[in-house]
Amino acid sequence: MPAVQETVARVREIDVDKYKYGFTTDIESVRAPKGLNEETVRFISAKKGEPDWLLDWRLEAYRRWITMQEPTWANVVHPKIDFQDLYYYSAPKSTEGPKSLADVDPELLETYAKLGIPLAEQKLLAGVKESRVAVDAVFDSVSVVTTFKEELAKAGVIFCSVSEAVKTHPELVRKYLGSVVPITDNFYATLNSAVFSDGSFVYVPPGVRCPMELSTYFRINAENTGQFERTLIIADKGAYVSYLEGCTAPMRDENQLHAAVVELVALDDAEIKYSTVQNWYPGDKHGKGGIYNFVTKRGDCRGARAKISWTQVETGSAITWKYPSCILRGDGSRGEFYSIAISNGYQQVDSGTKMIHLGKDTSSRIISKGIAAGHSNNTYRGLVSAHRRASNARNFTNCDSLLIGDKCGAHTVPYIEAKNASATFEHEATTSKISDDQLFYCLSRGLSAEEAVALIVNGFVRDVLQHLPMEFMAETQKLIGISLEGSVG
Amino acid sequence: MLEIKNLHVNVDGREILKGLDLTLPAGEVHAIMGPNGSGKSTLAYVLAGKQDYEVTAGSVTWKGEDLLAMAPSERAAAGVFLAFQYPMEIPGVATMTFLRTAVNAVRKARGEPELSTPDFLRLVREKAKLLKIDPEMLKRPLNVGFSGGEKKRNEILQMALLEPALCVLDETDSGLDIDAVRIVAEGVNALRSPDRAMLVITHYQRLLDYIVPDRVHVLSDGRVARSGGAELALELEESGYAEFGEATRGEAKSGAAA
Amino acid sequence: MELPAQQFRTKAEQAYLDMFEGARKALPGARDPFVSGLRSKAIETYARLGLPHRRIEAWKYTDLRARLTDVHPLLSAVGVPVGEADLAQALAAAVAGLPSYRLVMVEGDLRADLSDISGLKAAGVEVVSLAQALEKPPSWLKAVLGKVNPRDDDPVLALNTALMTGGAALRVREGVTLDKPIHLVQLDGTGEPASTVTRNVVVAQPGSSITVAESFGSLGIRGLQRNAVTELLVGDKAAIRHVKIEREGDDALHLSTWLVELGADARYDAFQFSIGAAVIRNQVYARFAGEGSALDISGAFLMRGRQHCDTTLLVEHAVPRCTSRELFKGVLDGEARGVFQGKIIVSPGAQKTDGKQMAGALLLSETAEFDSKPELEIFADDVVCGHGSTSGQIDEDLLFYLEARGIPEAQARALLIQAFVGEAFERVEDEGLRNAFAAASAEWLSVRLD
Repeated sequence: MPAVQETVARVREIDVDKYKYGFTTDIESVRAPKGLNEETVRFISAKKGEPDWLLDWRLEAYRRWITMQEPTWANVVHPKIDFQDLYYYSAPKSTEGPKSLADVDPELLETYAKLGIPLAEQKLLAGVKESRVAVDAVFDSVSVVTTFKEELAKAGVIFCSVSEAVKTHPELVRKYLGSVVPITDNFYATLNSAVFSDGSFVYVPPGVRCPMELSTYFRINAENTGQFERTLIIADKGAYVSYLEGCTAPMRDENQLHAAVVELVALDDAEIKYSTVQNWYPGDKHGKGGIYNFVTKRGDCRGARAKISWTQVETGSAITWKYPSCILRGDGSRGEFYSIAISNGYQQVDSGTKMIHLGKDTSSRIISKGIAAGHSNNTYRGLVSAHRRASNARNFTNCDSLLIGDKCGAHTVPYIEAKNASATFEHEATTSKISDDQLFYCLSRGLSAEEAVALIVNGFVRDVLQHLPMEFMAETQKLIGISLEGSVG
Repeated sequence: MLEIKNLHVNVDGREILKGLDLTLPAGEVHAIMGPNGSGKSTLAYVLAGKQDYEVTAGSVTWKGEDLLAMAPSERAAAGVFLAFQYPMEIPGVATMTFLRTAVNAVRKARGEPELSTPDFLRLVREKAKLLKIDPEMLKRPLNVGFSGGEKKRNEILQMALLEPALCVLDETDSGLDIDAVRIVAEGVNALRSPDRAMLVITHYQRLLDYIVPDRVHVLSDGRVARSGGAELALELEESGYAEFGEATRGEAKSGAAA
Repeated sequence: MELPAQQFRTKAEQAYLDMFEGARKALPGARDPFVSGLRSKAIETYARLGLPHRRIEAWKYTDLRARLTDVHPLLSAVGVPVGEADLAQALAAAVAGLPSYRLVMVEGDLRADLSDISGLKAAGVEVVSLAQALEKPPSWLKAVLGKVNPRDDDPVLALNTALMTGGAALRVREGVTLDKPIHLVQLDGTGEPASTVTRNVVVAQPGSSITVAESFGSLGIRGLQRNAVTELLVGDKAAIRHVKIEREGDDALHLSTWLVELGADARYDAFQFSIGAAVIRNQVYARFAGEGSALDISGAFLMRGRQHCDTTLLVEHAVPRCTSRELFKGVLDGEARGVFQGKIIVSPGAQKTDGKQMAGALLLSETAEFDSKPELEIFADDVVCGHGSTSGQIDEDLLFYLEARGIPEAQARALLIQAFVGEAFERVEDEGLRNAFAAASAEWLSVRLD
């Protein structure tokens, strides 16, 4: 079928240089000396004016990290990272601690405006009606501003940078930090524990439904700088919060490291919805540059009937290594994972989830849609396990992969472990290409090949799209078009 | 023959039957009608002994014995037969194997000798013919890939083979076109006899054109709200269930256990 | 796959190396340069890899290094008297009496007195005892031995090559279609705990069509440790139907590796039925080397007590236009553990691949466990691939339906269990074999009912 061949031919000329967020901001920065040693850790801690317990916590992580090996099990290939050739802290000079919006460097405000992120309060996100989003903007290693803080405070919701929370709510940070992802967890999480810079902190008190969407926007700007943000969200009994995360980085020839940790804690009857649109710089069409995205995200349904839902749209990064997971500890708790992962050019994605059923009557649902184009490799890797005590555990998993072109790879690696007879697990996966018939049908109705592919891909991911907050849905549909843009002209 | 007194039944902690009384003498056919959610299917399942249907009060006496104390297979041996609204599909079990296992299990429990293979085959062929069932169908796994009509005919075939004394037909007409309803009804009518009682559960009057009942009971909110002769069904066809708590007559809702 | 070199050796790991050193000069083919070269290379591979353990991805759920603490001495044929009665007892009666061209190997030794070698020869199949053939291998055997879908990353396979003492090698003449199955019976061990290492080689030349049944049993030995390999070469337009019936002592270790390679327009249909042994590892490596071929690898396992059954499949679509199907069904009772790892690889350029895989387990007790890892690794776009995996208990609604028809609960459960595994049996074309499996599973269930 000529139309298909044409599509495939265009995929070969894939062009990922169409990254829209590749500009750099010229701003004076304060950096830690290059490299990583105990002094670096102390420098970061001192810069943030941290208490001793946190410095000790970081040092413990650092000492452990130097004994650890990088994991090799993921289906990704990259040159060895020289961890001594990185800056571990970089902050815009003008930013010293938390600011009110009026104090923020206009250069930074302009950067966020260019990225389409609304930092001005009351201003609406483009294309969205009647909704407001509170934003915590993290620029390199520090949070530059958090909006709507006062209004949220009225509802009892704490939303600020982690650095600020250490000062203002040390008891909460101390209680929950590292309680979901311990400092010993894995190579990158341990590194993060030693050098984490900034990130968001959210606490929603018992019975409170957070009055607006919360969001963090991460931006890596400085060269040779790793970003190690740490996010901690706690929904107390009966609380609800929906949280959005976005990220971009300039186009640079070298690979930049991003090793974040996100911890979610949901107590009895609480619900956390965490949505990510990951659009880090993916590298150029020859696979040069791009972000190495090694992220540990985990939610703990610590209370009965707690619910944690992860939704992710992964379109960026040269390498993505990311498994947002749920520990279903509370009886009757529920975990969800909805994922769209699109890889193009020379991107490598190894992503998925873990659903660990520990409590009784726990349930989980996994819907993963992988789309591979160009020379990329796209792997779903997931674990569903029911432990002895987890009677009546239920899981349904569906992983579908779509291949566009014959130079890419799509892989599915699920682990399913049932240690309880009353657990019912169902897993299904398919891999196919865009159907010739569907494509032909669209073309014969007058759509261009590009429109047809975007339409079909959007249809392919619809089960996941519908779980995104309204704010992200339109943006994501556009992003899918952009991500596959090169592939169909 | 069947005596239901003040029957209260909970499903998932919710009370569905709330003091149902019903007497069904031998040789009679009674129809149970009523709006969705009135407890029709619950009654059918309780009589057959399904798990998770908790009887909180009342009694069901069958030929002088406590029916509720019996296991499902003991009830079948004692002559109670439920034609399911949604017959189960069992891949890997040939229909014929299933029929023979069931017939011989029931015969054994009744103290009758098991049927030899030729005798059994002869019996199945004879009964299948009456229901216009293609013998090829019986080689396929039980109900797997059967059409709605084939499944219901298969239920009636089982009824004919197990020779029950109480036949409970749960929405046997649902999902069938008029020709299929006629075939099924003929099969049922052929089984009417002076020592056999039947309980025909249906949402619509249509089936009762073919299986004419001696009595009609209308169920509403877990109780018998009204009883009458066959003409009551016709009346309901005219007026609907509005007075019994259903505003409009909708399609019979699928999967409603209550 | 690059595996880390072994630095420390466990007692068992060392024992195999010692076993090889001790037996080296006496192993069949010791004076033949081809055979001894094969063995030396294999023992080097083993020495590099050591015994597989849970940190090796392919052995994640079967930690052989931890489970294998004592290695038993290598069995060699001593001419134990075996009669029909022993056969019937060691195998299930239905299996022993299977109408077939029977080849019986006792402790690796192909026994002419119990085998129909002349019948096979007359039908167009060349048969040699591997022990004898290794001393001076015929050229056709040299062309295939250790060369069918070869691997150098599998220590169990390497150990087999290093230590193989017996088995049979068959070559089916071009265009020959056999009227009944070739039944390879392997019986081992009467006395003290021992190891047995055997290899069968089956070459189906172009256009031929055969059924190979392999059955494994023991003659009352305690602690049998079996390492069995079968190499199968399916020629262009040839067809092999291959079944395996495993029924060994409760304390046996059963390691089985099938290496399969298909030519063009070829067909391979395999079925594995596992019921005995303490620890079973069934691994199948199959590779499409010619276009337009199809395979089906299916099986069933029934495990109880503390039995452990691991099925690991790797199907490699190296060329376009091939179809693969897998269906495995397991029933797990007591503290038994079932493992299913199935991987489909579609190589770059292997367009029009159609691969589907399904695994399901029925857990009958609270303490049974099923671990499943179905994998897809796909590098071509014009493909239709999929897999599914389920685990759970007997469906209560189905059970009620059967009970409502007068079938007592225990019998109804048994019927549903049989139906569950029966779906897999339907993949077996030969009715006699299918019935033998059904009878063996019914026997297994009857123990449960008692």
